[in-house]
Amino acid sequence: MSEVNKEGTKKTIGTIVSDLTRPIKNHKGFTIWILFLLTVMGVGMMAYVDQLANGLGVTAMRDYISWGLYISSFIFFIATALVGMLISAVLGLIGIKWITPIARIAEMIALGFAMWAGLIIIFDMGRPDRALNLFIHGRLQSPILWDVTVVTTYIAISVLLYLLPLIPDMPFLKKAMTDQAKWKQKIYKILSFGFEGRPEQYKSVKKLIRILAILIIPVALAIHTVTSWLFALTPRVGWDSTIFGPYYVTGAFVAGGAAVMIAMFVLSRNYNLKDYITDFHFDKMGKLLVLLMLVYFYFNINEYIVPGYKMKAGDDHHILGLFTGHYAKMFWTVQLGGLIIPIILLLFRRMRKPLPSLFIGIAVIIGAFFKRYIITIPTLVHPHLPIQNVPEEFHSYWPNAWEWAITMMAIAGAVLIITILAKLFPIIPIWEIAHEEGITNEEMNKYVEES
Amino acid sequence: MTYLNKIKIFIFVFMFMLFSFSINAQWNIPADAKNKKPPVDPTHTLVKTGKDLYKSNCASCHGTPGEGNNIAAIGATDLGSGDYQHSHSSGQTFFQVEQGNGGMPSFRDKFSSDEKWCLIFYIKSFDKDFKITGEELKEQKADLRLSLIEKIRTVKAYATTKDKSGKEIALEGADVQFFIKRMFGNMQIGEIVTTDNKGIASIKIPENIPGDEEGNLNLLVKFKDTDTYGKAIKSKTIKWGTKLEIVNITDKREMWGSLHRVPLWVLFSYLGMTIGVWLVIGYVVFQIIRLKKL
Repeated sequence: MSEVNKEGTKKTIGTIVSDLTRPIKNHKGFTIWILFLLTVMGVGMMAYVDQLANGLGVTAMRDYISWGLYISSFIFFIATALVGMLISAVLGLIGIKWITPIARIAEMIALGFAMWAGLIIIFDMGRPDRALNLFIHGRLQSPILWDVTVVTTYIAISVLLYLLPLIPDMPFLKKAMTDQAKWKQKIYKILSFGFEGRPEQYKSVKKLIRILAILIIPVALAIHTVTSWLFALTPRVGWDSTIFGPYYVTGAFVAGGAAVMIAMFVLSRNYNLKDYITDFHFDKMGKLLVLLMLVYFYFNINEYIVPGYKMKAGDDHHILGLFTGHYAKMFWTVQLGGLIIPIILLLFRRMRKPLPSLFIGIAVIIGAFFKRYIITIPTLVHPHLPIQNVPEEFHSYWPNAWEWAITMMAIAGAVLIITILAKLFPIIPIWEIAHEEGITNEEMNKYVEES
Repeated sequence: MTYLNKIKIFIFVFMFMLFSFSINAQWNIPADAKNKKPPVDPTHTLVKTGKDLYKSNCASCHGTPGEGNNIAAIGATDLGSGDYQHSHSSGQTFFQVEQGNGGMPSFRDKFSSDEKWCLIFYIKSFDKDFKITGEELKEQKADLRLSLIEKIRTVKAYATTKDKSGKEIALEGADVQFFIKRMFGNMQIGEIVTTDNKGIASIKIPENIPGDEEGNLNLLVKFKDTDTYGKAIKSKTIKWGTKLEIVNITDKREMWGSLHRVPLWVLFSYLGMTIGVWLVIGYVVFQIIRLKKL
């Protein structure tokens, strides 16, 4: 960690283990936080039970605008989940060292958000009891089936990619957590899969991580490309675009990057890990986010200037609605506050410090959330045939309390998964940090065997 | 006012003058036309036929004098006036219908001679002195027999009737129509054919008429003048149509097909990718379980 640790003080395996396991044992504020998340989820659950009982009519969605907040949140969740692939696979494979302490955080975010993305789709179903029909009668020609397949696959790989780097940490956990509850120790024992630090075991784990890191790249590209195809494979105004795949993927990295930035700040401050996640890491992450946002900005220019210049009949209503019409306020707030201003700010070194990074990350992720709203809803307001002879409420859409409550439940649920993982396992891989500190496997094994 | 508009108005006025002038052109009816007599005496049926023709061909200019609407167009003769009725014999009106003059078009080719006479009867019926003097034609029992000449795709219709002694004889001069039955009506093939002195009317069936799956067409033949010859309709199935190929778009493997008709490239791409990825996942899981033994 010579390049990373500016202080240059060598850490022993003992300090690493105690630094990284201490926050897991410390429960200060943890109960309140969990209670808060559970309350949010409880409110959402009540709304969902009502929706189940009375149907989707309790939402603001009607015949024309039938993809509302749920679907736009679904894209947001998938997008955020994609960062796991970027950080731990792409950057890991090309040997970027500074991602070591944040790779697991990215993987936790991927896991939490990917799992809840699947659930949001269920929330959007009026008859979730018929979800199985998708597999029984689903058509292989339909991008919806591809999406279901690829989301499931991505969750499976994300679980493994979270679990695998965790296995070599288990011996340390077993040793350090002897004062903890029995069930926890049982979990550590099971998840160690008999790992005892033997060289062949290290070799195997590293090889498997590498295989998964390679595998997740096409799968992650597929998940978000297919998600974009749910839109782009229709001839609808605003969705009928050939660049929707890369547009979504780059947008996803922006959302995920911002999520990682926020998580880095919260976890490093809360867990007192400033020695491991340093200003250096925030600086690097800030630079990475600028790069991702610039690429995404480039795609935005293409996505809006090209149809905006031509103003084809049909496109014109949609584009003008975004630029100057009904959605202009949200559109420009999202583009300026969630993309352009953060790009400019993050170009300055001082803005890449932890605290400014946090606020920029929050702005970017809120922008990313509403960007999905901007992509999904305005198109539905402009169907190919005019909306006529329908009640007034069919003409427009703004999510009501039920939809907000259920969406908040999903967000709280994803954060809950991240919280629980962060409470059970170290958020930074002990063995990888030790390797970077130059500690050998033998030293680590010796430490574990000492009692 | 623009220059263009001025020109337009000028042209319009000029055309109008030309039109009114030509409409009022004088009739020049030869003397012998006056003596031309209808071949039969008027009957209710013939006047009725004439009325139908009049309504659809003459009333737009001449109005319907019998119904109190005497004049419809500027310059058209008021056919209902006593003046016209008394100064024109049937033969002279016949000449006018046939020739046309100025604004009045010629109907020489539009109507058959019989039709023209029916028209004249109707026009003459505007006169209060007009009398029905003829006897209604009795329906002439006629029959049709069909035969096919495969080689030249020709249908022959033999029209027969019975003479006073009840003997079957060829019916000459009857108009025969040929139809192919379609979904929502009958499609006429060619023109009306008049039977020759052997009572034969024949017609060639064109190629490329879509038939059913075996190329069958349903041919219908009947007399045009059903009042006279009866409503005999003969039908025959002929095999001269093109074979209908029913293409059900859901039968092929297409993107819009059912799951069982998934295009093979989609099927293999999907299965290939999914199975491939899950095999790797399975391998990784297997290796994790094997870690213990390493």
